[in-house]
Amino acid sequence: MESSAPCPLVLAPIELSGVHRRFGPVPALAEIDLRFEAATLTLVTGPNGAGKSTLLRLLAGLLRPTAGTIRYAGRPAGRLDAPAARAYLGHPTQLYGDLTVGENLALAADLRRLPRGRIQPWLERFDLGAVVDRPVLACSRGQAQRAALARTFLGDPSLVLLDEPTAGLDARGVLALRETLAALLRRGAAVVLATHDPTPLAQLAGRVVRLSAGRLVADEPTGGTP
Amino acid sequence: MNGAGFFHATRRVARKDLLLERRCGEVTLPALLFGALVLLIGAFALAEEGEDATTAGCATFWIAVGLSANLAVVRAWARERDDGALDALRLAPIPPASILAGKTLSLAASLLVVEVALAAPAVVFFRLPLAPSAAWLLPAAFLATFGIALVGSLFGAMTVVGSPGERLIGVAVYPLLVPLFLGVVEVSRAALSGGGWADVADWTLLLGVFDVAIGGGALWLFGLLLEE
Repeated sequence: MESSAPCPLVLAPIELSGVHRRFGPVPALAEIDLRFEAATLTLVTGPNGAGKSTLLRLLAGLLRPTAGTIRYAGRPAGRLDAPAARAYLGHPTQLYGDLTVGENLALAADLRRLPRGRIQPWLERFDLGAVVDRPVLACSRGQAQRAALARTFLGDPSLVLLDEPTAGLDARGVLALRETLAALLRRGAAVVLATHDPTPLAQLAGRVVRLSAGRLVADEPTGGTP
Repeated sequence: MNGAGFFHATRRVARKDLLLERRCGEVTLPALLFGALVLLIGAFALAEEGEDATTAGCATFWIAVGLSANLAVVRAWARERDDGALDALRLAPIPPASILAGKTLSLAASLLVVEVALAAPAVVFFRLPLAPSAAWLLPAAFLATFGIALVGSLFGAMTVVGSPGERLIGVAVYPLLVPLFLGVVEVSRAALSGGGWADVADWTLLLGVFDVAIGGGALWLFGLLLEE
């Protein structure tokens, strides 16, 4: 699973400068200036429609800003040649429902050219042994979410972007997620986590960013530690 | 990423689709049934008793394949949209073009299955002559199938990525298929009617050029398409 060595490719600090994003005529984010540091978990909070998911998709490189720039460790997004260092899990699980949990993880490992042996520890970490041969469609919401988290962390990311990651998770799942994030933070990863309910992972948070109607309304340190 | 990375990722994406297809058949089966229906209707309308229906048979066969391909494309890309699976592919350290290439290969495999299954009823319904020269049809059929899969995959990607307005632009790629269908119908007619290589060489070459040109353009366009 995760080692204690520093993350191989640190993408932090991530700097957003004057970032705007519109969907047609609808502004989703406006005038966002933010900086995400290595070894820090940043909680992004705000009501529905605040722009949390859009912010995460911009950081993941799945969307481009309508205006403004995003730089990773001083480099513009377009110059990055290591998307593997970015891990993003949004609301959908990003899994193929008709493939088994094991086949989904094997696909992710193969595309990253990781040995299949890297899968087993994540199956154990997220307690997926009993469902490894089960199609995702036949899994519960919580099991699918744990499989999605296992797939997300498989690539040894140095930038982790999670949108409501505790949705559907039971207490053991939340604990596994917290342990995983703590280990990644100790290795220098930057973690950005959008949530309505910061409670389960609040103790790890070093900072809270609050969005409202697409604008940054608060950016405060919280003093949490991994 | 180097060329080996491209081929590795292409193979893996195609293998994933073929595994899903073997398990569910959600692309091939509906396409096959729809193609059979088109063929049957065409036979009733166009195959006159006692007349040579070779041209009508070839045209109807490839119309059936084309319409089936449209259905197959939509199904093949729907599975990438469901539950955001395409996001995971986009975030993997693979060339974006390998996603399109992999899906094109798996779609071409599904279409070949449809074509093989439709060939026998087409021969029966339209009383197509099976001259020894029919073998000259095979290279053109492979090239046409690959071209249909390629353009279809690009269209499918456009239906999944981008805004609703941008998705409509996908329809604009369909006219690209006109020379391809003209070519393969012409080769089919000539080969089944006893023509030699000389009769099909020009059209077959055109199909090859089409695949190379459209292939290069599609792989390039797909990279741009993913940059929302």
